[in-house]
Amino acid sequence: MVIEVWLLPSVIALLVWGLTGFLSKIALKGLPPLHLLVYGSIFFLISASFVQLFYDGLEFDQRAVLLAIAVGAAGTFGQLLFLIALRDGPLTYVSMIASLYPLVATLLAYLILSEPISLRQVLGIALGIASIVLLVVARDKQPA
Amino acid sequence: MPIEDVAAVPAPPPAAPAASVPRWLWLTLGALFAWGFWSFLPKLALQSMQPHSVIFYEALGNLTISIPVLIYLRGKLMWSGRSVPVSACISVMTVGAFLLYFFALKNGPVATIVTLTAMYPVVVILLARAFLHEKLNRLQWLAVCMAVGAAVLLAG
Repeated sequence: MVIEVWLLPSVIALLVWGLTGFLSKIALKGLPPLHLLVYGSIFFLISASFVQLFYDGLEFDQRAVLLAIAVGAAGTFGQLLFLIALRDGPLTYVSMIASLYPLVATLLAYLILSEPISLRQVLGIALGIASIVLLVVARDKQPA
Repeated sequence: MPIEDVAAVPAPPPAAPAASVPRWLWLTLGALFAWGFWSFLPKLALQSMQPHSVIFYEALGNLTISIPVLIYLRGKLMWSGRSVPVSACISVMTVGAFLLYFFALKNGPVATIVTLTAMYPVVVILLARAFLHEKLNRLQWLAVCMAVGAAVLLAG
């Protein structure tokens, strides 16, 4: 069996993001979400600056820079909208709908990059998204 | 990637009855599309820059939203001797995870990688069970099994 070069980094990122999600639960016990959002951005910038010490230099390509800035803005803007939506709407539905974002990414990859998707991938994506949605729905249920 | 765990956000007050599409739904759809672009756009940026450069400019992009939030908070950030260091740890790990995520995106299919990494809530609930002794109900166990199945399919 050939292991794709992207698989291990993806799995490690999954595990690390899981750990950060867990740590966020702890951090939110002492700070409101908006304050944590600002702290997160500050520390993210410091950490990203520190990373540059290990590389030859920062590249500059105007198109890519604008795209990368858009990545950061979209991620943080999404968090902000999500938090405001949570203030007005039901937790379960807000979380469930927002967790479907891989569908948007899949659609964009298909439309813009014409990425081919195999049946196996379609099944994996469908099952993965279903598991995320089920997880959100199940959170409000009583433990067995 | 949402840094806030939704389970820790206080339950909202009952929503007022609305004849048309409620405001929270528009906001949620906005978050859905924003995160969709957030997870996809790095693939385009990585076509002409390396991950370490993309992550730096992404950090600047974060500030375009968090600075107005800071102004909204009147420049006053609450301090917590425990939460702030934890936030710093989260950011360090997030940057590391982003570097790996960007490396994966540069070399693999967007749809598969985004879906695989979006299943991180499964890791959160397993850690919460292990360290906070939170119990999982049957639906959550089913979701964990489905996520593992999805990971096997996507990895293949």
